[in-house]
Amino acid sequence: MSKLQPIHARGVTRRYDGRAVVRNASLTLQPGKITALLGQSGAGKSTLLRLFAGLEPVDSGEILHGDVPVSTISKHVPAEDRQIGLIFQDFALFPHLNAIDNVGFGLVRQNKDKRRETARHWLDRLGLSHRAKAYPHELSGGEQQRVSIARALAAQPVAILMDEPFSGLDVTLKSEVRHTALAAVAEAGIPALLVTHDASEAMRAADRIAVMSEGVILQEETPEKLYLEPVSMAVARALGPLRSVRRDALPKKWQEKVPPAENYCLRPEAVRLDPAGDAMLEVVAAQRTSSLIEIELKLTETETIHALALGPFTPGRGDKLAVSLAPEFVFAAR
Amino acid sequence: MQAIKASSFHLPRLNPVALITLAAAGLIGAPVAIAIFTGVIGGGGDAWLHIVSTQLLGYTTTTLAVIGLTAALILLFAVPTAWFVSLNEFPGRGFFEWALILPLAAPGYVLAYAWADAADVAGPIQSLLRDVTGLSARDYWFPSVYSIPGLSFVMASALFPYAYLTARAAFSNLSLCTMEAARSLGASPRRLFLQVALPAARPAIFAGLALALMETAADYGAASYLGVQTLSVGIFRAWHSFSEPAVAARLAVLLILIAFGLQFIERIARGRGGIQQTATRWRTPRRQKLGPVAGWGVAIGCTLVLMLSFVIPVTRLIWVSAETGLGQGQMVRPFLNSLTLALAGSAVAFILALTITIGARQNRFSQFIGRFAAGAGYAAPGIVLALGALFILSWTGFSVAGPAALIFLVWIYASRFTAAGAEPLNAAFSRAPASLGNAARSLGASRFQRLVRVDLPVAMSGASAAAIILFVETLKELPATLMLRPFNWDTLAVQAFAYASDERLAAATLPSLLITAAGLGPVVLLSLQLTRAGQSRAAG
Repeated sequence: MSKLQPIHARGVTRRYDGRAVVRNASLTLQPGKITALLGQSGAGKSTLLRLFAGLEPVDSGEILHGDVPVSTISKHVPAEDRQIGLIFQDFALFPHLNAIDNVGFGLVRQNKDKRRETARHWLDRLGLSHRAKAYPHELSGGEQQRVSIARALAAQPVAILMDEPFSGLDVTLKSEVRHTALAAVAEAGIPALLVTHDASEAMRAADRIAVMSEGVILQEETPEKLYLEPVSMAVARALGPLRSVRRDALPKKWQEKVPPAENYCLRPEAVRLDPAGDAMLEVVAAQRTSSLIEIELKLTETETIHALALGPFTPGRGDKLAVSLAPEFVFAAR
Repeated sequence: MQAIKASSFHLPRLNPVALITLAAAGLIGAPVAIAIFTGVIGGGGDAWLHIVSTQLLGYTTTTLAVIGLTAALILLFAVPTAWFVSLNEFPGRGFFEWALILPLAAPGYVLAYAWADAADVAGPIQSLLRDVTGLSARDYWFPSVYSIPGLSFVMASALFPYAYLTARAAFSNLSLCTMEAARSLGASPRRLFLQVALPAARPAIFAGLALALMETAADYGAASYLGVQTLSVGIFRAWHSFSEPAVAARLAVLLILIAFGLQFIERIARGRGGIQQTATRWRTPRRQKLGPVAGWGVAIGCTLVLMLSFVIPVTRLIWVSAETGLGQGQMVRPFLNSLTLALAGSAVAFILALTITIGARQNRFSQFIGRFAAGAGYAAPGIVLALGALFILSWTGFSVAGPAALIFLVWIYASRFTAAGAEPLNAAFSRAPASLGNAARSLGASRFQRLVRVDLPVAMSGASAAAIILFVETLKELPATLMLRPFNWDTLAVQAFAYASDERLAAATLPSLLITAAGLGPVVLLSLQLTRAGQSRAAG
């Protein structure tokens, strides 16, 4: 079987003690693409990953490699026979093996010299050739995760599944490790699944995002489309912060720009500071959060909205600001 | 590239690991199961009725009194020393940190011989008292070792390190954030200890205490020598003196019930689900430096505990042995016998411990059955397990005097101590991430390959501690050895007991010292290993 084949989940369900933790989920992992599975804790993301990996059987539905079924109700190819690489949040490095031997673990069919050469190549690819002899406890968190990615890729998997792979890392390390790791994964050209609860990580890293809640995949799309055209409020909320307002609290001119509804949810970027803006709103509070300034603006005596601004000066309480509305970031609440 | 095996099926229960674990569990649990079975269904007849009407209440209340008093003394010895050693800086702290484990090397019965001699009217302590005060022996009262408090003191001296070790680990693992939060809320050092540290360490302290008390209930050597009529003494007497194995088995069931009761109380005392450290930024607290008066006070307290539990009795044994000359009896054969049995017993126990530990990682069934059997074996006193083995020997027609008895003895050692070996192996696994097995599977490793390439090497990091504990425990074992050893196959423990029972205490000192010396090396090694592990964790 070629490794450049998609992996499909078709209507899979998994139950624990009679309770469905994954319900009728369908998702395709395309070769060369990173698909993110986004959701809160307990949404069923990791369970779906385990079903893809063959660590657990399905209770209904099927999982196929290309067109070969590997998990159905009557058949289950175990994880060790699937050639699927796994990356874990806790790195799962073998504590008794040094970095190079960890990477060489899955290469048992190669002779010793070839195995070392392959392992060295992958350590080099992940920027770790100087740490080949180090044991896991001697490596930093970022180094450990890069070794685990090298280990998974060295075994030439047909797909790679990553379960919150960067959550255990320091904020400063995270983006660097993510960049190196995902570049190597993309280069391998295989299907990749990234399970995460971090919307910004999913938006940055993935070609497609599937939003999951209570065991159900709510929507699967490109990050751009998902952000701008969520099919439900749950999906919209999963992608970033929202603020609810009543229609009659909005300035009259803004009401004309949005489709009719009783209530709306606004992303912070829906309201822009604009000298030619069609509304003047009073600042209730403003605070700088590194490069952005978060501004709370008064709509009525009881309702406010948020705006984001760039610039050197933070407005003061009571200032009047000219603002305009970007209707593409406004969703009618249903 | 390897084609996917579309026909592979996964059957979670009927796998070889579960079957091997089941076999190991059967091997461990059989002696205790047989002893209970015989005790419950075997009729005790008139002898049992006689015991019930005359001795049973006495045996039971004495055993419970010894357990209660020993528990209080163990807490008194172990908890304050563990607290000061873990979280305070005082003169000699580094020394006491490992030295307070040393009493583990000396079995209770050896301490009983030593204290009986040292605290005797003619012994050095009372002689010194008379020399200093000018009193005669009739002018003062001196506590007797031949009593329930005396036995409790001896058992607490020998066994408090169990609770000391678990308490020390628990205090060292307290989160700095929790301690600092308490301090910021105005908690005094006393309140910090009583209301923060002690409740947090309580589950660990009770776990260590329960182990020590099960050993106390199981003791035969010390109780028998000091003339305290516990259930263990009653069981041995029923079997040996009255030749009533059915009565012995009935008494054994009572002793097992007490051991299970202790485990049950430990579970209750542990509280709801234990107390976990939830601070995400976990740091080990820095040790508080005590002032000179408090610091020296604590150092004197620790010295006193170490002197009473180890230094005084062992010094007395060395003294008596040196006074009477070392050539008392032939010691080479018993020494070699002890070594052979301890090596064989600990090797079998180690293999069984490894089997159930690895089995427990594979599926819940193996985990339950392995832990249950090992727990039952550990809870059952050696005297009860030996009784189970004797029943099997008599049913199968093997001779107690023949070499088959030796094989049974090794089996009993394994049944009794597997749980003690499984503990450090399990700890080695718990330090490794839970996802290791899944990572190996994703890299194509079969069940057997995972066992050889991942599970065994990971478990081996706890192997030396497991092997040491097993060796020392097996070496010290007395009642099962006494009941099952073939004729003329005395070990050091048996020889010491035999001499001491014959009132030839001087002759008993050399085998006693040899057991202690043989156990001392491994205990020092284990102690240093545990202390180093604690230090590297604190530095990490």
